[in-house]
Amino acid sequence: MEEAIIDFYGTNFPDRVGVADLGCSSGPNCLLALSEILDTIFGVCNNMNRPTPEIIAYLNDLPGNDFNSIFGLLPAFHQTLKEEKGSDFGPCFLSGMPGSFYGRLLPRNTLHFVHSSSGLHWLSQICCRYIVLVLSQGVIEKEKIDSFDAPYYAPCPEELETQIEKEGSFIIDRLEAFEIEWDGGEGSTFAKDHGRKCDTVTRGQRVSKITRAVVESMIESHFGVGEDVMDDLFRRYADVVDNHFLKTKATYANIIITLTKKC
Amino acid sequence: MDAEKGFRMTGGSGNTSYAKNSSMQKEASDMGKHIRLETIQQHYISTTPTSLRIADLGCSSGPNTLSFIKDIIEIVEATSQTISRPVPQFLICLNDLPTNDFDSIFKQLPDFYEELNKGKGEGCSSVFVAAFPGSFYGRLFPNNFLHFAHSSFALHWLSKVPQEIYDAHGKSINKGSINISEKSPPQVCQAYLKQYQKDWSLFLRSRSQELITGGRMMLIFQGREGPNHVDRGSTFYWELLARAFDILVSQGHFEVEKLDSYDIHFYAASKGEIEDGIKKEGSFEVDQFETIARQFNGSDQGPSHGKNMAAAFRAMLESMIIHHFGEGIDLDHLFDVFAEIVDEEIAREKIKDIIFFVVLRKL
Repeated sequence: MEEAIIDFYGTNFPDRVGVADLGCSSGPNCLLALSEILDTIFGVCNNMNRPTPEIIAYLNDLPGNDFNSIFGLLPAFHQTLKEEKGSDFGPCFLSGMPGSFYGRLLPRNTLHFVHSSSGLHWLSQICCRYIVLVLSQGVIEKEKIDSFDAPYYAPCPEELETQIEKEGSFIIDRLEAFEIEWDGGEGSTFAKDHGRKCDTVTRGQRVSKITRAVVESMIESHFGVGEDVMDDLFRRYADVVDNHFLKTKATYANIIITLTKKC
Repeated sequence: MDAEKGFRMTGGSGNTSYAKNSSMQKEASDMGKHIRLETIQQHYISTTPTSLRIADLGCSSGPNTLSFIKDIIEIVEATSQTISRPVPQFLICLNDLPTNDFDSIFKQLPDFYEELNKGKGEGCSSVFVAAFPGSFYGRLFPNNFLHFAHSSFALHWLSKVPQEIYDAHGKSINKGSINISEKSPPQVCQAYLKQYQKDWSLFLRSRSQELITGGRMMLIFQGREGPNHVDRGSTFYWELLARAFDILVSQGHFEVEKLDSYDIHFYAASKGEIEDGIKKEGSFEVDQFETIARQFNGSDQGPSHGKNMAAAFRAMLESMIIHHFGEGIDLDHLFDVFAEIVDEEIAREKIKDIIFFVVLRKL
């Protein structure tokens, strides 16, 4: 991120910088990416001995996202910014921008830096297989399961490169792939060996919670199941995942790519 | 009470929501629709930007803000056709306090865009809607960002209840009243005026940095006709609400101290006070200043005026009242009593609601 920001800021020194986080979601982590972006801009400006630009930040997700909870965090976020960076930083104006990023979100030439972190597309694709397995053990009609398809696609780096070159507006600066464990890599060897911890959350339970937060609304909408069925589904799913961890390493691939818009 | 923390119109779309109970505000705003459309049309013709950034300050939740956006887009599209220019891209910047229910506006956006673009095919306008939460008594947008700022039924709300109405022990000197009333000591009126002047100055200063030169601002808000606050105008409803609270005290719903310590951060400015503030701040010229006096009589058909006002006031105040009086307060009963009091007063003599429509141009 630092390289990308030095690249665009370090040559032009714009007075105002537009940044966006696409697919910001909600919850306590929703401002993490933006924090990092602002920290990086602050650091770059300090190193170059320049005043920080005005920053206008657009937090984007679909219209059904819980933006109210993000906005509730903003007063404290502003306060922290002021305390950490002083009142000379920015100023920084924050907004919520609802809409699908598969389409236009902002007027032309609004943004200098765009961030998007949607690694969960990978996670959900593998886990959906297990969810379908668990569903099929329950009382859901086969037709409902057969017609359930999650709208995810996990491209490989080559596919990404091909599409970017085809569209033609961007140069690839960096493209790297790395692995991360399904539960974020916090599992202990005890959990791997035994599959369960005595008095703490198991890895399977952790994965189940992460997956549920993402796919629950889709499952509810397609299958029309109530909370009891959902709880049971994800309890059994956690067991399935714990068993999976016993047999094999469970990771998914993440890709980081930085692009520069051509002139 | 600091407005930023507890003040919001009731969200969602339930029976007591602002969405279902803001027709009074819509009606008033519509009275100035022609001014709004002329203003934006004139500005657009003189500047023809490729991208129009428009703010609605104090947008709340509910249908009024989307209705305003639709009007603006339609007039600009029509004007573009007339002067044979391509329609600009629109960035609509909605603003209200962080506690506002923005989600309910966002959920309506997909249908809203579809409606805007119905039958236009390739000629769809590029309309982008974002929300900038925060108090408009302070900066919300970068320098020279906005072409047009609009605010309807928001500027009569101060940033907070003035500190000067509290004595050395933190007790309100405005006992028995919840705003400026007959019973209020003179210091209360002075304190409210001082807070208004501070807020108005900060509002103008913030907008002067955010609007481009020549940018326009259209503001619609409640005010008062003469120098006297105690008239049968906009502020009178707070007296009537205070009477309703008083009745609940006498019925044992809560202690009188709770009522004595409750004050509303509302101020009905006079034309003179508004113009003074504009002149002092110095960045704006007044293009138009219209006053409309809405007279309310009793109504023979449908719900009574009292019931309508009760529904409107509840949608505005519910969150604040609960914050002060606690969840246990019987809001149904409070607003039934208020409705009856309003109807009794209306039957005796008209109540006049003064609304100002002010158009400013950034110098």
